[in-house]
Amino acid sequence: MSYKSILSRRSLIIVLCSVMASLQLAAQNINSTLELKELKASDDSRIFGIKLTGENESGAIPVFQAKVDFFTTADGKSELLGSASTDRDGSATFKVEKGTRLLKDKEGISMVTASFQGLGKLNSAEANVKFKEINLQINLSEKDSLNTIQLQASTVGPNGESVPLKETTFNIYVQGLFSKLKIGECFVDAGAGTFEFPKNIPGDSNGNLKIFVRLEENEIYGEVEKTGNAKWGNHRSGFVEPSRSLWSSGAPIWMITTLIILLTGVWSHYLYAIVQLIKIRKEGKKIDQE
Amino acid sequence: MESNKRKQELLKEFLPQLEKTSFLWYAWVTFLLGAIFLGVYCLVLQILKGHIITGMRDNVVWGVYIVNFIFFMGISYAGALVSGSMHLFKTSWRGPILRIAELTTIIALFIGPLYILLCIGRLDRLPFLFMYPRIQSPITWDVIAITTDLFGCLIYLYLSFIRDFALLRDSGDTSLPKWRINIYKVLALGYHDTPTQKKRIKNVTNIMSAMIIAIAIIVYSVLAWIFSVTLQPGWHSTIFGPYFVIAAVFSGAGVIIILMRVFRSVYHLEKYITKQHFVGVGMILMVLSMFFAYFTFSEYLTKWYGSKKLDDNLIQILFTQYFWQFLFSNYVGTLLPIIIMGIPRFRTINTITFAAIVAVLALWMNRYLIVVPTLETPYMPIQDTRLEWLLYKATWIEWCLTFGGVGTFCLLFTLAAKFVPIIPVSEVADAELEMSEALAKGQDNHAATITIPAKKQVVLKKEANEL
Amino acid sequence: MDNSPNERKNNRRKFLRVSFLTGLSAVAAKTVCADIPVDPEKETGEMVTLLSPDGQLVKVAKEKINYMEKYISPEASRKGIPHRKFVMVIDLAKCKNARKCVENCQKAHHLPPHQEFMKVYLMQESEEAAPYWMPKPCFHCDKPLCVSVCPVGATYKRSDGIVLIDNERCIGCKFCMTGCPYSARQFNWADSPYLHVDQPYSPETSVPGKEGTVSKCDFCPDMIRDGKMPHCVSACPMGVIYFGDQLEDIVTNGEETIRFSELIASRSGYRHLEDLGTKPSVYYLPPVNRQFPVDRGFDHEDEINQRYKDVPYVKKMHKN
Repeated sequence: MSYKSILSRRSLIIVLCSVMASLQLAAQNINSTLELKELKASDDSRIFGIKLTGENESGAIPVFQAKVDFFTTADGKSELLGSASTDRDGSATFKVEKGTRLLKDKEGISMVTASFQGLGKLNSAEANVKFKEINLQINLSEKDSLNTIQLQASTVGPNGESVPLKETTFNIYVQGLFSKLKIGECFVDAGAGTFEFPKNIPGDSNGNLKIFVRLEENEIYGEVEKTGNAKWGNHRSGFVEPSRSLWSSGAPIWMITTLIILLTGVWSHYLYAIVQLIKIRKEGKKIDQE
Repeated sequence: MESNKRKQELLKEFLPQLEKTSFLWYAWVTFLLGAIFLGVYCLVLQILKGHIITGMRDNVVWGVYIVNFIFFMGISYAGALVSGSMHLFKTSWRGPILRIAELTTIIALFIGPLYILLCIGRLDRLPFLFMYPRIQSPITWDVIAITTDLFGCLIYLYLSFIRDFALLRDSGDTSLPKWRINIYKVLALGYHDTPTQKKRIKNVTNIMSAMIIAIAIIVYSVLAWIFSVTLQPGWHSTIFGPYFVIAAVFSGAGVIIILMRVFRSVYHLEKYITKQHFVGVGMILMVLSMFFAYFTFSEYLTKWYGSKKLDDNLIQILFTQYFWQFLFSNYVGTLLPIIIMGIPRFRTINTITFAAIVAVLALWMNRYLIVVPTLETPYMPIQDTRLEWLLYKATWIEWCLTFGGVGTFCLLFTLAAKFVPIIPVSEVADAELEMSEALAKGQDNHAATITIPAKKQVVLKKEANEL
Repeated sequence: MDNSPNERKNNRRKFLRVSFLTGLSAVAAKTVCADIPVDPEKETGEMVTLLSPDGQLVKVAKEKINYMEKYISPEASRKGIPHRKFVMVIDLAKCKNARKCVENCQKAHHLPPHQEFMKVYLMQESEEAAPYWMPKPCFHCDKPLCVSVCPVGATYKRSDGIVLIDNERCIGCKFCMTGCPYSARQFNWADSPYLHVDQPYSPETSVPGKEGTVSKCDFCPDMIRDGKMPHCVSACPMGVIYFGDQLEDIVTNGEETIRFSELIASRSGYRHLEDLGTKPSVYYLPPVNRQFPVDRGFDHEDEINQRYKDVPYVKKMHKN
C-alpha cells in the first residue's frame, strides 16, 4: 500500500510504453519501458536518471549498453542535449551543466525527453519530464545560540524577471551513513523561509553535519536540492572498548595476578622437588664412586 | 637391616611378574592394540572427512568426547587425591594400593586431554593455543592447569618409584635383560637408602602429596568452569566446581577398586590387596557417593523448584527422554555403593567391586546427562527438521574412539605393571616394619583417615586369604 | 494464505522501482558508459540475464569485483570502522517470514541451503501468547560471552560494535558456540563446494568459509564500507530490518530513515533476553498492530514449514 502511494505522488514521472510497431511483429517483439527522473542538484546542474527494462514472461529485465538520447523540447521544437549508455541495471544518468540553454514554452516550462530508439526485437521507448526554472539559496547561520537555515527561493516570471516563490514547503535532511534523515520542513512564502535547526542531532564524530534542503515531487518545479555543511552536531563519544575486560584482547589485572600467584606457588614447589632429586643424585654418585 | 631383607624378599616375590610374559598377556595386549588401532582409524577418518561423521551438530556441539574428557580427567584427579591424602595422612593400609592409585592418575591424565583434542575442528592449529593465548578463556586455564598437573603428577609418581627402581637395580640375580637393568639404574638416580636420601625423599613426597591434592582440586574445578561460565541453564551453576571434584573422586575411587580387583586376581595378590583394602576404598566410595548424591540433589532440586522456563525444559527432558539414564546415574549409581558398604553383611570383595563398576558407569552417564540434554535445550528454540540436528546420537566413530581410549588406558596400565611391581615394595616393607613395631609396643596406629585396629587387620588378612 | 506468487512478484517489482527512483540523488554527476565483457560461453561463475539493445537475451558474467582493491586483511579487520557503533532494529510487526533476508544472506555469504546466518523463528512465549515471526541475526553483543571464552582470540569485538570471527585463527573448539545463548554460531562440519570460493578470505566477508571452524552473521562490514547496507536489510521486501549507526542516531530500512532513539522510544523497542546481560546491538520492535497475519509466513515449501511444527500455535492449527 505504501509503495502505491509513493508511486502515485511521483506524478512528474510519466512513463511511456512504446507502441507496437506492427501486428506481425507483435508476437516476437519485446516491449521496453523507460523511466525518467530529474533533479536540480546543489551546483545548479540538472541530473537526469533513466532505467530501461524489457518485459518478457519472467518479468522486467534490464537492457544494458543501450543508447538513450536526451532532448529538450518546447512548442514542438526539439534539440538534442546528449546521450547516455545503460549499465547492467539498465540505468544511466545524464548531466546537464548549469547554464545550458533549455527550451521553454511561453509559461516558462521546460520539457526534457529521454528516448530509446529501439533496435531489432526491442521496441522503442520514450519518457519525458517537465519542470519550471527555480533558484534556491540557503544560508546557515548561528544567532543567539540558535542554529537557523534561511531559505531564499525565486522563480522566473513571464518576461524573464525574478519572482519570489510562493507557499512552497521544502524538506530538511541531514546525511546519515546510508541515507538522509528528514528532520523537518520549511515553509517558504514571499521567497523566504527560516528553519530552526534542532540541537540534538549528533552528526559525525566532529559534530559536522551535511544538511540538505530539498523540494521534492513538486508538480511545477520538480526536484530541487541545495546542500550545506555546519558544525551543529552534538556527537557523543564513540564506543570505547574497555582496555582490560573479559572480552578484550588484554586480560583484567586481577586475573593475571591470580594466575601468577597460583602458578608461582605451585611451580616453586616443583622446583624444590627437582632440586632435592638432584641432591639425591649427587649423593648417590658419591657413593657409587666410593 | 630387617627392612632391606624384607624388601628383597618381596621383590623376589614380584619379580616373576616383570620377567615372564604369558601367552594370555600377549593375547590381551593384541586385543588392546586392536581396539586402539580401530580408534586411530576412526581418528584418521574424522580428520579426513571432518566432524560431520560424528553425531555432533550445531546445537549439541560437544558429545561423548567431552564426556570422556571429563571422565578420564576425573579418574586422574581422583587417583591423585586418593594417593595424596593417603600418603599425607599416613593411612596405615595404603601401601599395596598406592601404586595403583598413582598409575591411574598419570595414565588417565595422558588420555583425558586426547578427548578434548577430538572436539577440536582444526588440529593443525593447536599451536595457536600457545601462540595467541587469551587468559580470559577457561580453555587456556585448562591448558595451563593440565600441564601443571601433569608435571606435578610425574614428579610425584617418580618420587614413589625411585626406591623400587633402586631395588630393581640392586636385585642382582634376575633374568631381566641388561637394558632394563640399565634403565632402572638411570632412573634410580643413585639412590642407596642412606639416611639423608631417605629423609629427602620423605620430605619431598610429603610436600608433593599436599601439592597434588591442592592442584587436583583447582584443576578439576577449572574443568567444571568451562561449563559453568557459560549461560547454559544446565551448566551455569556455582556449585559446579565442588560438584565436579566430588564426582571425580567418586568415579576415581570406583576405578581404583576395579583395578585392585583385577590385579588381585591376575597377579595373585590376595596376600597384599586384602578385603581390608576393598573395605577401606569402599568406605571412601560410600562417603563420596553420599556427597555426590547430595550435590546432585541440590543441583536439580533448585532447578525443579525454580520453575524458570529453560531449567524447566531441562528437567522435563531429563525426566522423560532421559528417564532411565537419569534413574541409573543419579539413583542406582549412588544408592548401590551406600547400601553395599552401609550394611556390613553385604561387604565382600565382589560386591564392592560390583558397586564400583556400577558407580563408574553411573558417573559416566551423569556426565553425559550434564553435557548433552543441556545442549539440546538452548535459549532459542531449535527449529530445524534435520533429525541429527534435533537430537544428539553418538556415531560408531565416537564409540570406537571411546573404546580406543579405554583400550589405551588398559594398555598403558598393563605395560606399567610389566615395568615396575604393581605393589610398591619399599613402601609395603616399611609399612610392615612400622606395623610390627607398633604391635610390639601395643600401640594404636598413627592417626589415619580410616583407622582399622591392628588386631582386626590380622583377622581381615586371614579372611582375605580364605577368599 | 492469499499471498499469491503474482502478488509477491508485484510487490518485489514495486520495491525495486522505488529503490531505483529514490536512489537517484545519490548518483554522482557523471555519465555511465559501462564496458561490459559479454562472455556467453563462460557458464561458470555467477551470471546475470540481461537484454541486449537489440532485444536478445544474453547471459553476462556478474560484475567482477576487484577484491584486492577493498580487501580487509584478518589483521586489519580487528579494528572497527572508526567512530561508528552499528545497531540493527527489527520490526516484528512487519515480518511475515518472506525469508528474503535469509536467502540473500546465504547467497552473499556462499552458505549451503541449511546454513543460515540469519534465521527466522516462529516464536510463541506460551500457549496463550501470540505467535510472531522473529528474524534473528547475530546480536553482536557489547558483552560478548563468545569472545570472552575464545582461547585464541579468533573471535573479537571491534570498536564499531561488530563481533567477527577470523577463520584463519579459529581452532574449532566450539566453546563460543556453547557460550552464545542465542545460537548464532555455526560450525563448518564438513568440506563442501560452498567453502571453495575464488576470492581472498576476509573476516569482514566471512567468505570463503573453512572446514572445522566456526562462522556466523558478520553485519556485512564489507558492504558498510561500500556505503551499502547489509544484505538482509536491503533484501527485505517489507522493510522489517533497520540498520544504522547508533552514534549518529540514524537507522534506515532503505525506505524510511528514522532516528534510532525515537524509533526505540516510540515503539517500545527491546532486546531479546535482556536479563542475560550480554547487551545485544540488535533491538526488536514488538509485534503489535501487525501488518500481516502470522499465517502468511507459511507460504513456503514443506521443509521450512515443518520446522515450526512444535510451536503451540502450529500444533493447534493442525488439530483443527
